[in-house]
Amino acid sequence: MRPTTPELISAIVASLERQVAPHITDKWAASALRSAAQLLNHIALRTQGEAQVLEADNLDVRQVLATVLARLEAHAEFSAARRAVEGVLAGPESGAPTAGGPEDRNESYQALVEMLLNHAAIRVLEQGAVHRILRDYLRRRLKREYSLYFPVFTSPPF
Amino acid sequence: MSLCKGQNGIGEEIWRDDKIVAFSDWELANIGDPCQDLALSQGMLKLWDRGKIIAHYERAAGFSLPAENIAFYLVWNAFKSMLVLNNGLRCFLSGQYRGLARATLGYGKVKIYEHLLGAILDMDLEEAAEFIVQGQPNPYHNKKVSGG
Repeated sequence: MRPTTPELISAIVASLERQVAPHITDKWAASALRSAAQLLNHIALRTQGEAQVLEADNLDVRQVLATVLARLEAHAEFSAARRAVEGVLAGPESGAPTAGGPEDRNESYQALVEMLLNHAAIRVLEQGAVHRILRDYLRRRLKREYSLYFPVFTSPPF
Repeated sequence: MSLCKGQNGIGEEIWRDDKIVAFSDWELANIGDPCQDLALSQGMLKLWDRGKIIAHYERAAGFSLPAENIAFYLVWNAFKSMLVLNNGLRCFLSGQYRGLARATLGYGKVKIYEHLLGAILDMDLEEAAEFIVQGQPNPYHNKKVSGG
């Protein structure tokens, strides 16, 4: 569909910056306009890449959680953490029609990753091997979502 | 140890002609390592040659600043800023206050810090500090600055 969503957003931002911003004299209003332009540019990137980023991330993190779960199985003291991971992994696979939104699934997975990272005993398990698996996943996640934030948010926001 | 301002927010310099003659907003002032103040100066170190700025500070203060301390505070400040700014997103997410700056700072800027901090995990301290400095926008870049 043309114009595309990014094209429309880009036109809105250009119009705000070229035709509206020069006439704003109040500094707080000007600041709000700069924030709006920055967020619109981010939304344009989201419309192009967010779905793919979330889908790839959900697949990746599920595999990571399954790997961690297998590492925890031999340790009775982690039964509560194991049950939490099993409960979420028992849900539908990413992309299934009954799986809920990809954002919701991703939020559930991220909550588990955070819980595992904050678990003091899991952090040192197998000389930190489980912790490294989670940390490596987070680095892949950062790389995956990089294009949604750079360079949009690198300019001063105020 | 010295009197530290704690953080120099944007626009907290009081200018007379082309010189800074005072600073406002001292609510975070503390007694601490003076390297902290240089690291927390929010872009001022990028307005001129960084080495010359530090040398000028050392001449004026009468003592030297260990490079590793400045590096430590540059990295520490990135981590601290990420946490502080992200905390500001709470009221945006709860709907209590949907000011746009809450999103650009509490979400967008925090993402930039996340990426910077994620990238420095295997770097040594000074390399990490340089990476943080280069990766952050200079908030003064679109301000008209005379002198220097």
